[in-house]
Amino acid sequence: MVQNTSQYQKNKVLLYMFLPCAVYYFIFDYIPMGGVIIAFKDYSIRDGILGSPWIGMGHFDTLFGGSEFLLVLRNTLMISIIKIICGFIAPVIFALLLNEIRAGFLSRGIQSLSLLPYLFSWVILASIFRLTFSNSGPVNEMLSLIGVDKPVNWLSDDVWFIFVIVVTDIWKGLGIGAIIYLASIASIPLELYKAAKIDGANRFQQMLFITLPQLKPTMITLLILSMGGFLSAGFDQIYNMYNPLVYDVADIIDTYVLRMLTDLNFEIATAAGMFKSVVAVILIMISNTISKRLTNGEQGLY
Amino acid sequence: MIKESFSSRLFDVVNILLLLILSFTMFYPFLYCLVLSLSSEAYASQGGFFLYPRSFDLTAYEAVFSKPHLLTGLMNSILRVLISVPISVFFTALCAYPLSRNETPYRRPLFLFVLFTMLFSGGMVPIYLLYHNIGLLDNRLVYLVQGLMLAFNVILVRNYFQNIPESMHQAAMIDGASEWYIFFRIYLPLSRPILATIAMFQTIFHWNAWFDAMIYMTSDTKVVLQGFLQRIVIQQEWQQLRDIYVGLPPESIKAATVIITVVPILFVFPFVLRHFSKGIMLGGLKE
Amino acid sequence: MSDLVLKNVSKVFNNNVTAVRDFNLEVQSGEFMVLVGPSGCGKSTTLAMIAGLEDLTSGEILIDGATVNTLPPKDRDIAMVFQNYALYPHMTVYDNMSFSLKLRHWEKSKIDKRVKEAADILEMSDYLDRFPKALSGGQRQRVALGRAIVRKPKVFLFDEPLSNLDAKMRTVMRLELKKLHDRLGATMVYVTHDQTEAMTLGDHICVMNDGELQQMDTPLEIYNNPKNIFVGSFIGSPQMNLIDGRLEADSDNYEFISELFSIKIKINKNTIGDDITRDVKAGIRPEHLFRKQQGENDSKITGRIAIIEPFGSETFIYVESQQQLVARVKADNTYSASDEIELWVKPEHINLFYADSGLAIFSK
Repeated sequence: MVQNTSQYQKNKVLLYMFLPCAVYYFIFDYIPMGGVIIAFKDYSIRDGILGSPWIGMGHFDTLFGGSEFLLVLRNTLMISIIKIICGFIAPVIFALLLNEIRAGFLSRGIQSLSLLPYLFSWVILASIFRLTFSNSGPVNEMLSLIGVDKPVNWLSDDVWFIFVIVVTDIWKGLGIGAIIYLASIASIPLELYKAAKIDGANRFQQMLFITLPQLKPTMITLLILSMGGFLSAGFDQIYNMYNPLVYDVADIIDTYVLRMLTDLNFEIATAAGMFKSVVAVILIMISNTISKRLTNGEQGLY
Repeated sequence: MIKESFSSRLFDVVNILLLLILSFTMFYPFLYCLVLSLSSEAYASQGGFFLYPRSFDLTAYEAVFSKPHLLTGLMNSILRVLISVPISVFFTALCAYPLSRNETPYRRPLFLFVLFTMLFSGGMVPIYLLYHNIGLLDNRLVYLVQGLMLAFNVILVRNYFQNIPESMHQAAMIDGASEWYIFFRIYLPLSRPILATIAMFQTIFHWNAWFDAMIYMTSDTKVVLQGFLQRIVIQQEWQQLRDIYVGLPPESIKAATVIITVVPILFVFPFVLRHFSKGIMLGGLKE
Repeated sequence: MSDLVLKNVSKVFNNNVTAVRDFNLEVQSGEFMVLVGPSGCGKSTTLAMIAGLEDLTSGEILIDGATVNTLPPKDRDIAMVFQNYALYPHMTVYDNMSFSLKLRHWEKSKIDKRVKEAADILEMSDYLDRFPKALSGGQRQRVALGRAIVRKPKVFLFDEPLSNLDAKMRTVMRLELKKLHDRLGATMVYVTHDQTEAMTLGDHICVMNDGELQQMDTPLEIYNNPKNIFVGSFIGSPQMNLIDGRLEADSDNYEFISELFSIKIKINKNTIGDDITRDVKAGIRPEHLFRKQQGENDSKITGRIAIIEPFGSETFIYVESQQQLVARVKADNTYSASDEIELWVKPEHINLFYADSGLAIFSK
């Protein structure tokens, strides 16, 4: 807003409050953002970032020319898309089902338990899952009880590995994801359900015509936000759960970047990372625009 | 009494059953781990489906504690949380306050300045080089810097501040208070619920962080507990223990390490339950 | 149209709170019945039980002679208008109104006819494709009404529908409702805490308090012959003046004696029985305190004016005289605070109540 000088003088103190924060963001977020120019340079530690010579799009050519990055990109897209489709609907359904339970203590208990996985890092969870999905672990044990003889190679088979990744990711996010939706559901006035009952709606119809529409805005916001992580595919989880046997489906952009970093191949690592970030921003902007178009400018992230 | 349709009651039964089974899967993995960590060789190698420990053998824990750096890892993690979380909460609120006041000059650009950090990142390499240049590598201070002022958290607190009645601020201004005074003595105390929520987010974040320890620390003594866990279980460092503790199954060692890492965070669980849904509503996320 | 009967209806909630106690009521077909009372008196709970939104603890509800206790709301052929309108926010006005018919799998053309009919009656054909959030309070209430009308139900139920409207809108909608009832001739049960709405809208009024029916009568009967102190105080604004005193008898003549005044009254011997010297309260409506004596049997009360509230066409005078009284007189600039004033009351305007039970002693 436009302020005259005396107003500005009065309000200067607010800027002073923001100053330390601005410094932090500048140093730790914006300067690194500038560091992406490494992707366009022939970087050597001796010359530093600024001293190293430009080579334009050379690194990107290498990146997209070789098969390694393309494979990694394919894996990332595949895992990401599956996760977004399944993982997006799951918390909504969980929230709706939880909402249908009328015994308060039961729904609260189940909700509390569902929050347990949120507390734990993927290091912990991956460690636990390596134990539970092992050949002699409880999962295979249960399968043998219902007649499946051969133990399934959950973590070393290409297809099963992806399956486990997706399922455990949904499992971890179920409780925390549902909370946001449950908060929305809680704000629906009870009178709407009374009116619907009188109008003749059964439980399912009430869910469809009252509860679900209320969740739509939150769902859209979260969907747009998840676009930002589209090329991430869950590094934390995959890094801790994968092994060489599944590299050809599990290697994603972030694990690739890590490998490049350890090999001290800074330029490629930066180029790949930058590619990821740029695509994320573009996707968010596109999905936000699409959302605004479809809902007449009402629903969007910003 | 009003008759309920059969399909409605059937749905209730099936629903509750399904959700109970789901809840069981939520905590069974930990139970399995606990049981495994307390099992001696004979039982653990059997594998299978445990519901309760068949033996109570603390050898695995002994083995894990004997590994150097476990205790230092624990100390590092605790220190990290105790120091980073309060500082982070404070600065998050400090950043949110000017952004919540309409009269802050350049408020909109400043907000976008903060928001953009949530959307775009320089990536692992520039950040690593930055830390290298500033001297944060192999330095415990790097833990403090991680997630100090996450834009997401700032937005939650900002929304909460905006929901505080403007009359509070006006009354204080009339009484002659400065913005600093209002921030410290009025807004912060009133924001306990959202600040507790942010503290909870940060605690879980800092306790679970392992990647920064792995990349930025070269000294073993500065690694946090999760980094330690990662080495033992994922990187298979448990094998070094086999020679000392002959006969101890690797699963037990791994499981014991997990349990040691898990127990402290369980203390946060009640807070999670209490504050999370309140915090999300207060932060206006659904709007 | 249909009649509605409630027989010994009771509702006790899980925490042993009795919301409605042994409620009996007959609503004739086409009648406008109002349930009125203070917050917590059980009127909304009773309405919810009629609708089927609450279960009965005991008793029976019959619509058109058929018991409906066990039926869910959708099978009772009733429609309800809510205080907060309860419009489906994500549907247009048209969809809101047609929702119930769509659920019943009606043919599209039939639905369209009904909705357009209702829209015509309520004069809202213009905003059929708008969304609730683009409407004012009054318009939303019309949509809520439209949603009910479209169903052509046996009984219409109203749960304090005007409480959320501003004062002006309330008067407008009150008239609309009365016109609507005249036009449709439907059986309507209306819940409100506002006694003006009750008096102006109802063919009959049920005054409720603490879960129990206090009196069911026509508005005028309730006003002139309240059965107990509660009904007398609740209906009528400003509130009826209550004066403590004693009733004394001398063969066939009764006299009410109090610190403020004494007056001879006629009482039907049958209603009072033998125990005649009792503590009683005399109820006098504010408009029955006159500036001038009008009959030889009138009595005088003197006091000092405390506050004057001019309303334009009339004035409320608050008088202090051993206790506070309110008089409602024609507007006149001759009063000012602290003036001495004389007020006259006629014996036929005294409503006597037993001081202990609150029940009325009738003069007829």
